[in-house]
Amino acid sequence: MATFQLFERASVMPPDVLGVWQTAPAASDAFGAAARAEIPQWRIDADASPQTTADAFFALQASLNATDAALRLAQTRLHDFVRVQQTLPTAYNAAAFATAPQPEAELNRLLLAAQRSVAFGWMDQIDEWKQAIDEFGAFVKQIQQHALNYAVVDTRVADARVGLTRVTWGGDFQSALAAQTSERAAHQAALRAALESRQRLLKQFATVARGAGELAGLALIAANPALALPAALRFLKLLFDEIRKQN
Amino acid sequence: MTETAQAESKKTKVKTAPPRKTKTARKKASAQQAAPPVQQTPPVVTYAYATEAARPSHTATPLPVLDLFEQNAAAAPPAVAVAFVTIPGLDDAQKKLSETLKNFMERVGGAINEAATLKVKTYVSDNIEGLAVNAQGALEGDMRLRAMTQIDLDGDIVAVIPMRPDGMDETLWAAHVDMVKQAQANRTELVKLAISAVSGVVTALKPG
Repeated sequence: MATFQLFERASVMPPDVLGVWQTAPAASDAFGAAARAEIPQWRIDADASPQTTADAFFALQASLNATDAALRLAQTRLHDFVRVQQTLPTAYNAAAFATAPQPEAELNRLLLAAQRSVAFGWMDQIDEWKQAIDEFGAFVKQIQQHALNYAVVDTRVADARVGLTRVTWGGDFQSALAAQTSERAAHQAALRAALESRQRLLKQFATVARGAGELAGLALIAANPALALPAALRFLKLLFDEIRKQN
Repeated sequence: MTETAQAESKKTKVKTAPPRKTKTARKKASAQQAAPPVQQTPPVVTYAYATEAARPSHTATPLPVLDLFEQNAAAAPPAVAVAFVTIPGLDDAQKKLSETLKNFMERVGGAINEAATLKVKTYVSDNIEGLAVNAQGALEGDMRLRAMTQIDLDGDIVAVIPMRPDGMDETLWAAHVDMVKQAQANRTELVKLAISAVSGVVTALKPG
């Protein structure tokens, strides 16, 4: 069975919704300097059996497709959430969202907490907002680390390295392939998988930003747009959890 | 056969026959002949065939590359100032977030503008387990450069093709070409996504 590991310093969101990529903070010794420089490393350990490896890549592709679907769903659900918020009388708000799915219910709770804080100076739930803002800050750093930095893709087949590629932000490749191997195609497939997964992280950020734009239609958010981004990220995170539980 | 002779024999192979023109294309061509000539510098495609080092030769075949990137790069985002109405107890967190976002937007804008050439280098190593990655992210260790492609924003291409005494190293070249394709697709997608992300943030933070 092939394994997909992503070594990165800060991990707020996984690249794929179903968690085929296992994220870890540390890296192998050969990449000590790279790890210190916070260069993410995508490592694929493939099985000697081509069929098992093909199955693993297929599972990853399915998870990446599910991620795309989840991002589209997030956009739609945030849009609907805002429409409900705009049409619902305030008195019915809590009751209306009591039976809502967790992402909507949690988002509604966060918004109510901020409203109470602005209106009455209630501070009881402000820590949750602090947490959400810190989480978004960490997510920006994660994206910065991936999208504006190098990435290293390391492919192994049956415990032997067959290819190693450094990819810059702009897409320059520096690849080394093992001289004596018939497994070069495995590295090409691994490289494609890693790059597509990296793109999904940036897509998540774009979705959060667009979702924040939807939330800007709400009065509270319009007065304080900085809350929209952490709120949209919290929503996406909970939606990913929901999808993972369903699978 | 010497390397130069090999290079010459290969050079003829990259030339392709011009495509057959359709009726509309012929009409367009005759209309263009009637019009005054437009000053245009065609992109230069440089191929080099060598075992370890490049031996450039020139053809004038234009290849369309990175058009999308060029269009997108022109649309790089301006710096964004983020203003907040503070909520009691959240001032510090919001200030920190404002700084993080500003820094992110500046870096994305800079990175989009910087990505002017695409370079793909493929090495072969007899001791690939011994390779390491330095703090700049570059690969270090015992490896030999066997193929290289450089694509400039204006369409100029330089290619170094791996050769063996008995001809071109087809397997390595196929792997390299696949990586060039991946690099091009990846860059186009990344630039699109970066612009989408930044414009999303700008829209979200735009004062209502």
